[in-house]
Amino acid sequence: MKRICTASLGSLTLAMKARQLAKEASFETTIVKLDPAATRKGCAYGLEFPCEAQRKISTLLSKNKIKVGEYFSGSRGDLF
Amino acid sequence: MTPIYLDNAATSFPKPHRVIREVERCLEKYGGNPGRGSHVLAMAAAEKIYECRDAVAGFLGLSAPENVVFTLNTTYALNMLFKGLLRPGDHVLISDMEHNAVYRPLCKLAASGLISLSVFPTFCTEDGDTTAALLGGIESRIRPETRLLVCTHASNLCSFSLPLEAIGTLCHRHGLFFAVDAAQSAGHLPIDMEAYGIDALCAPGHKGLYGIQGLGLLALRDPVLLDTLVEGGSGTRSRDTEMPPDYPERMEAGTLPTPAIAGLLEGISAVRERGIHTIMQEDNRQYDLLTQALMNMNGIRVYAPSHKGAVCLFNVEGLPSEQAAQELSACGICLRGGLHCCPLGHDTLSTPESGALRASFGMFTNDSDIRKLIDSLWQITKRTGK
Repeated sequence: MKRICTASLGSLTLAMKARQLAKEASFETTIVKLDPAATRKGCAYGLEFPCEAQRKISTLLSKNKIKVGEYFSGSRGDLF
Repeated sequence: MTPIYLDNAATSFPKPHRVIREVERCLEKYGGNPGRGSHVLAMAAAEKIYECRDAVAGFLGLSAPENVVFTLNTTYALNMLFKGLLRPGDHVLISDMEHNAVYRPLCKLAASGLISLSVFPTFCTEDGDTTAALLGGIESRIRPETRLLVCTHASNLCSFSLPLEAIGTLCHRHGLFFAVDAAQSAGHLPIDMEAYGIDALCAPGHKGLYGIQGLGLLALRDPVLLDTLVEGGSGTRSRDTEMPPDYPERMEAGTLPTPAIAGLLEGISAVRERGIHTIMQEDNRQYDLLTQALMNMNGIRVYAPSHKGAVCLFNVEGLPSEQAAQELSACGICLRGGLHCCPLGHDTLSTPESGALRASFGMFTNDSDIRKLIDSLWQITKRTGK
């Protein structure tokens, strides 16, 4: 089974933009609402993707000036 | 009798059927609260809003949909910009054709001693290209503390428009933040924020973009961190006592009007399908049709007639504009008299105390509407003996 990673993002709009950019780069991602307990500031949206794509996704987001709050391993789960 | 609607500068009417249908569809099919939950209806609403942000960004020549902030209307967007950007001691430049949406908030800030304000002349009553004189007027008023230049793109009184690209170049040469009130131009004139060097642009959804009332927008070329005017729920960072730093949610406290945003998306599609250059040509042709007839009619005065576009300002000599508007309303013609919330522009155009009559065109204006206005004015002038 593929391991799932999640990037927490500052807003739902940025999560949608991140998903669009990932799709254009041929990565399938999903937007999820994160557990408020798992983020420092509470209530956040995140982008789920296969962990093997993390390096590429991370580069893609940073190239497009999308700041990632935190990366999670697992779906909406444990902090790295 | 179906009224003839020539007040599109106030709000466009009617709306394209596709706009009405999408607003209905939103209320029936995807009425969740966007950005607040993760259930299917909340996400469907959020998807539509993102699609509209993307469309607005593309329409304005921007690449970042997150830099499009939805607001209640243009006035609200302008207030958010001024009150979020300006700091004590700043000096602001505005044109002599500004609407009260620009003039009043800045006058209030100036009266409170926070900022100082200067007005530059547009030379809009003169014929020909007055760009050099206009730029000279701006440059001579720039001070070391000048922070912001804000101007309308197209007047709400007549069809005069300002040379945004030239003004943008000048602003950036002097390090000024350049903001544009596109209340009358969005959907009527081409706009490219990147190419024209516009830092911020405020526009309504319900005029030339054919959305419904209750929606405006603030578009930013770069996400300059504005102070917030309103704070509240944003759907993210809920434990934080401040609004989140990321756009657009930073500036969008509270629930967005999803039905209005869904309608705007269809309105923009309708404008794109017709084509902005086709709309301009049609505005100009109808302007000629009306203006040439009015200029040949005794007892009618047209203001700034050499500037063609979607708005024509005129008066029936000896008849206060509101009275003339009422008489035209009795003939089934809807247009607006008075000062149009733009006393500064009326002073510039030297209209009488009672203002003037404004006819403004839209996508659904046809030549027979304009002929009916001409016929009715002819009857009125005949009766008033002019």
